[in-house]
Amino acid sequence: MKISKGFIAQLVAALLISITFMGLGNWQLNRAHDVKIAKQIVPDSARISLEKIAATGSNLTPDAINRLVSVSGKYRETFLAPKQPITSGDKKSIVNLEVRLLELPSNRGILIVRGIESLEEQEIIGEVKVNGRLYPRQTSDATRAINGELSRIDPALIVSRSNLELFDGFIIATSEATKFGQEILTTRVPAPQLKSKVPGNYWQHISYVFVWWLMALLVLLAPFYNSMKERESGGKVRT
Amino acid sequence: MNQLNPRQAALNGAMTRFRIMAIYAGVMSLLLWFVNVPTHYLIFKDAYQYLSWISLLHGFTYPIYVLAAFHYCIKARKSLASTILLILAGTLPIASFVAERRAVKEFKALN
Repeated sequence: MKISKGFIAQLVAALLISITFMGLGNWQLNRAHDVKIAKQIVPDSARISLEKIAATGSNLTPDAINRLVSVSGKYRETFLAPKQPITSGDKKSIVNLEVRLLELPSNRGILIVRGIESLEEQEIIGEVKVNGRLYPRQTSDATRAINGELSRIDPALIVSRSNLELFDGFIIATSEATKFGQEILTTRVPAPQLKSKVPGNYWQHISYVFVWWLMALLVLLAPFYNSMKERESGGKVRT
Repeated sequence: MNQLNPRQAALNGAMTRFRIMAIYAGVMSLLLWFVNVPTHYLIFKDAYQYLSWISLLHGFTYPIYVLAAFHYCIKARKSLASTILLILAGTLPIASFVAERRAVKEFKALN
């Protein structure tokens, strides 16, 4: 059987396109896997001191995000973060949050979301122990901020007005206590685990896997297309 | 009903399957492009959770359209370029309706 150079070129081209389509199918398979992982609920690790998982002046590592942390220091400044979205169960709402700058030993600081803004500012003097969950800094503004407000909860917004070295991100406090162990009460906000925002739905990606792999198979058949037509018509074909 | 000639009779089964799948793919493409995608990215985003089945169903049934179109093209002895265009027609709204109408016209012209 004689094989022409043209046919070999077609075969090579079909093979390359088919491999590309197989790769796209595999990429969708990986995305399906990522979506599945992102939607799994990971149990919380034990509470850890903030200093053990984060440092000032550097970005939070992925391992540090979502961790339950504890930190001790003194509150220095109070800010308002207006129009922040919170989710409690299935209910979403927009609230104004009270955010304070907690000064830690060695001239360091971190932003603490204490809870929903109260009518009167609670005076907290002396050392405070805060338990909560560590979140990455917000990257988009919730609103336009005026004096004393934060348009988003991001330590970069207060760098110029503070002489402290700041930790990246912020903590949503779940409890606060004085150094004598007395709990400080306020209206807390939920501090759920952040979910990775891998777009899509598991089964949708799986369906694309089938589409790409089917396309890869059909492309492999392309060089034999004319002979398939011939067989179908039992002789020479009209194109 | 008109009597089918031998070529039409040989193509009839593949043609019927292609027509059903072309109309189905056209309807699904319209839903996908004008209902599913806008609610996902543009308007009435809260409604998307009730409409995500559209992209899912379209994704899983498009391969059936592809197979039906491929089989029809082999049977109808279409060129490779026409086959590729017919397969891609299933991804665009309206295009598969146009492809279905053309196929019917060609089918009637067979002798």
